[in-house]
Amino acid sequence: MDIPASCDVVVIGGGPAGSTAASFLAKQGYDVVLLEKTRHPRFMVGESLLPHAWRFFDLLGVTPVIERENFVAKQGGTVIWDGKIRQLSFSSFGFERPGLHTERDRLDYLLLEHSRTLGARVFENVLVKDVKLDGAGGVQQVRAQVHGEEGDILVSCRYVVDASGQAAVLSRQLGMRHIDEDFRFVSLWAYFKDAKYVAADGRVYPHSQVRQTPPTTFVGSLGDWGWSWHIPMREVTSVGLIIPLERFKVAKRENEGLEAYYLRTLQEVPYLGQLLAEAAMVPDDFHVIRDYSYVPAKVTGPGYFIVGDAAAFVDPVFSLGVVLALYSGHMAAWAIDRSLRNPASAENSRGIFAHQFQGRYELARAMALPGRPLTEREGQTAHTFLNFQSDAEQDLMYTAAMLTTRSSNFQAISSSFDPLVRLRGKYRELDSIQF
Amino acid sequence: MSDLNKEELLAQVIQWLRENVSDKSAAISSETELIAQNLLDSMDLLRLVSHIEEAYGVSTDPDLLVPENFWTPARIVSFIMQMKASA
Repeated sequence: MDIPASCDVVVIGGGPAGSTAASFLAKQGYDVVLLEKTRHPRFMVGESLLPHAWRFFDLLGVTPVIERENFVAKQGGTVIWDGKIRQLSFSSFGFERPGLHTERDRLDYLLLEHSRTLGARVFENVLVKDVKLDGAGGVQQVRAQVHGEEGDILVSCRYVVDASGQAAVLSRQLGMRHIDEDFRFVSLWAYFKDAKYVAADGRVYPHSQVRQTPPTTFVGSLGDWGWSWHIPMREVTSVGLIIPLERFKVAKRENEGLEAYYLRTLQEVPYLGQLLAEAAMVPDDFHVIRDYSYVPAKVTGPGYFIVGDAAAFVDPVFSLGVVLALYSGHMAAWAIDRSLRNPASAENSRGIFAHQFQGRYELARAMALPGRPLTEREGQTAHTFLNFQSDAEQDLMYTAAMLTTRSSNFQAISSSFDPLVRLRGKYRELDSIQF
Repeated sequence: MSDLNKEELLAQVIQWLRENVSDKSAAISSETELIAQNLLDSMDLLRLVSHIEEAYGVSTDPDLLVPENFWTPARIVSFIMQMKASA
């Protein structure tokens, strides 16, 4: 492997956040080295994308590639929460293009390949061990190991973008990963063939119709403690549960086995059992991971930016993950370009990055995590970010927030969340799902 | 850089917006509500900040990146003038 000893920017990780940052920087003519610990395509969960992703695909110039792939279009969401059935359609909020249900191994592979075509030098099977930061934005040194080879390699650069996902290389190294006590959950999921799905008309269709009648993402609450997802893709449907860590520990102690627990619990979600009645679970494809919500004390400092899941993770209930990755990857590239062109503005660029990221994060947190009230400062940051959104986007956020019972923090920051504004909620309430 | 008057600055800001917002068909005047109408999103905002800094030699305090300062072209002009005055 011919990894260069120096470059302008090293990007750690080739998921959507990393390849987005690498693409934008390579496009601007910077010498970018991207180090990815696995080899793409590689397995990844988080299949549901909001239509906002298209804005970034357009900026990246990757839209034709994504369109050619022909992922399943999603029209919106069907949410059964606390017994109420509500549907949201993206088209009600002015979106001309749909959301997507993507096989993430393919999506992430396409985005990474695109960064190569723009000139980023991508090296796979390379594990980054640590980064020696000079603390002053001069030269950073990345230490990595090529899979199957002895010894470390060193790459010097001006900036490091940490897009290492849950591995969170930099924030772990710097000891600043802050786990949110609010959200210690476990995801259990598997893939099903021939699962039925719910379309935007509130009716159920066989999986074979997924092209003719686009599905919605189906989300159902489990008591007041958990929820489930159901995401139809081209061949299979991703079906998962998010349950609190405490319940998971109990389930683990039972003799039943986790897979049996998972299958039994799916039946407790209204309608989900019926959607899966004639479906077959893909063998040996059952997954369990712990999901902690976290944010580092700092997402940037001299010589580095942290983006995507490496920076922060919140409850995935609103499918924000990939869009947050694209957003932060884009913003890191902007800040690095600006800092390299005018080193005097480096501190200022970092300030803007941190400020904007914090706003986006606090807003996501406010929508999904009710456990701890936001501090005044957090609330203010989220509020500012909310007001930077267009009327249509704010309508979408209000509506999404009203679909679950978890958005008390969101209601607190959106000053206009009163009975009048509730009229802005553009969801449709159904009496039942039509089989 | 020579001092610009308010009208010239407004014309320049509107010109930049017309050339750079995604919706090229949008009519933009001094009081167009850029954010509310989705003409200026988070990505456009970053480009606008870079442009303002390079074109007018000012530096943006992250705390001044609030919607009020970018709500309309007229507000953007006031913002630039305010930063120039305090620079």
